[in-house]
Amino acid sequence: MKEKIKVTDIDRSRYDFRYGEDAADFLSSGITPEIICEISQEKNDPDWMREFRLKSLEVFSRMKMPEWGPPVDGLDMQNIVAYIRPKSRMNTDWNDVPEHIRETFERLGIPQAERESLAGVGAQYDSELVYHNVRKEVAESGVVYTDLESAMHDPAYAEIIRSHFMKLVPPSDHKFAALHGAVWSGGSFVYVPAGVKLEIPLQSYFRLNARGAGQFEHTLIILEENSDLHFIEGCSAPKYYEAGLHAGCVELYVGKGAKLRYSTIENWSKNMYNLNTKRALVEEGGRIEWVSGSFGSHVSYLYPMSVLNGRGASAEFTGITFAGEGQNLDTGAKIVHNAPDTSSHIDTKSISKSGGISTFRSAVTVRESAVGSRSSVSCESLMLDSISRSDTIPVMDIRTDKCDIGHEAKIGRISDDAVFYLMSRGMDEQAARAMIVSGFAGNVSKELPLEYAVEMNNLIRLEMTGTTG
Amino acid sequence: MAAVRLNQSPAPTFSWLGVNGTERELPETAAEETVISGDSSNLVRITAEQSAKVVISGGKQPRTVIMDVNAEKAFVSTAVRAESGERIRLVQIVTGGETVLDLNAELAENAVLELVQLYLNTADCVSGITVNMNGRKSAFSSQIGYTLAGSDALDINLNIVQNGKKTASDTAVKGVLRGTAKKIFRGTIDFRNGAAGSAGTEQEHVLLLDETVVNKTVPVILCAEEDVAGTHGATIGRVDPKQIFYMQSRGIPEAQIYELLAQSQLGSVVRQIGDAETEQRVNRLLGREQADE
Repeated sequence: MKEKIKVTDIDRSRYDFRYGEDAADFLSSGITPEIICEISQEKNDPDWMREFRLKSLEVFSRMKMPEWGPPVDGLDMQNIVAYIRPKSRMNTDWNDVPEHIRETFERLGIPQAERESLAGVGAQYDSELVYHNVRKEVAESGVVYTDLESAMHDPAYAEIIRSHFMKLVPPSDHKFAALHGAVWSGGSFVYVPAGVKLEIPLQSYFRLNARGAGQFEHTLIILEENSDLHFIEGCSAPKYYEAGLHAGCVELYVGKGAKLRYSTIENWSKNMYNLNTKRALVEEGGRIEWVSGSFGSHVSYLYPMSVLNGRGASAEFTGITFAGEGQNLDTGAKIVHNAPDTSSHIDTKSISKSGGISTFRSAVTVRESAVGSRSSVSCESLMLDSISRSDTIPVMDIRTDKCDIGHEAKIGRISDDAVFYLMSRGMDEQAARAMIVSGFAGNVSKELPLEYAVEMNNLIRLEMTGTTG
Repeated sequence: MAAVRLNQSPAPTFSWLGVNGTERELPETAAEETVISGDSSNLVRITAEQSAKVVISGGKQPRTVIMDVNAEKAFVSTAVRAESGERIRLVQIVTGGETVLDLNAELAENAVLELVQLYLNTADCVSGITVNMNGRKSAFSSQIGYTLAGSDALDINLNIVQNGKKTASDTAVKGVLRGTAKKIFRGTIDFRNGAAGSAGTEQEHVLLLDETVVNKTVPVILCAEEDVAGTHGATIGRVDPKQIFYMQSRGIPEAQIYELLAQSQLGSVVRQIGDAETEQRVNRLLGREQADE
């Protein structure tokens, strides 16, 4: 008789709280030119941005839904509220943030994290940033960390924003990129000057409190030559019965010799459609490192893309996906080798349980110009029962002979041999199985800052039972 | 002729990669059917120089069917029905022009299908293979080799559906690409719910010998059963510089080194044919290709 491991559902009690909403804060639901104009007016957009929004709406209207990936039938765009008016302007002091918003972020541990381990923090509540602050010494080094809209209106950065905004992810990329271009709101702008290396991370936290709403924040990060940054992104929402939508966009420009680590712990509630787009352009000798934990949302489409555009550029993606009951999480990574001697590595783990569906999807493209490039992909999937699903769908598109490309994937359950081995070393069976599952996720947690690793381990809380298999 | 969508991936992905399927024109008239059943000889040779339809069943003894497909333009459809405990070995040597191959196999309990396919300089070949492993403890192994040069094109879609308990599949693919050749290999291991105790492996090794080739590899595992073990792997790239150095140090000219390595890449597949006459003929084809260069 086999012992079976039981992994409990993710404990969302820490995230599943909410405060009242005021209907007067909401624009009408649906996506129409009138609503786009209203958003643009609320935000006092420059003319070019207003035109950009309206053109994006045209693209959104004519583009088809993706013909692959999880179904998004439950998402009725006419019921999604694209913009919620802020009750608070952006603040640089927590004490100036309205009490209920402040309490929300206190409960999520953001101010404490800022005090203890961060160089700067941005906090978005529904459609707008409510708090942004950066340590004095960091600001003095020339690092800019502010909300994107302030930067867009600042003469010092306006042209930078205009020349970079949605140039990596054009609205024509896919339907939800076009939607983002039309209704985006909030998000952060980070600029790190040449040679500046931040020792401790910056963090943005996105909280969607409102029912039936969308969050469309835009993150734009520019690293100049030989700079170094670790940026952390967190997100959560309380659970509602109505579908919610997150269609954010992240654009990262990594200059020559620069290094950017972008870490995400995504824990949206199970009513959310997480249709997010992330992309990095890496110049000569630059490096992008993605660390990604996907635990929440009802449906996810998430494949951070690295475009290695300069000789010797490199990318690494480390990710874990945990799909439980009612979740269909389609995650992975895309790499484009577009220059000589570039290298990439993708390492992912996924766990499926209680009817959850986890799909690893990747694309490694090696262009003609990418001679001397190397890429390796490794994905492992763990099935914890037979009502769940786990699929791996990688693609390699190789267009030069002077490259070395490798791929490996494994799928299965907890190995009886591994359990036997650990038991032969004196562990009981429950402890052995728990250790194996913890170890399975270990490659991601060791890449995270300690407090986030602890957070992730709390999310994957293991509980052993003696049920028979 | 009617345009038909072929080689549709069981798990479509990003459209811009162009790997979700292809389209070709197929003849509307049905080809004459060749039936190889219980009374047939245990070693059957078929040559398809035009469209053909072949139905293969097993017999009391293990059966080997060797098919030569060499046509300017053809649609060759093959159905394999291996009943309980039957063992069938199917060897397909594909050369020629615009060829569409369709192979559909059904395996009953304890049935075994061994498939050996060699695609030798196919100008434009689309090959779809579906193996339904419905029977408990059925087994499927495949050895697939290809060598493409010039503007040759090959599009393979192998879909192994493991339905029965304790089924086992093992796929090894080896190929060489030169010139402006284009190749797509989609290999799917599909563990269906109920296939407890099953295992599936798939490996592709591609040797690229020119900077203008296009290789697309799509190794997919679909899994709806906990108690299975599935692995896939792929290596794609150039000749290992250490291998070149070693052979040069033994006095072998560089051009010959590439030929030797290409030959050895396919050699392991050729040796799986298991019929001396066919192996000799394939080796001659590979040798002639060498002489042409």
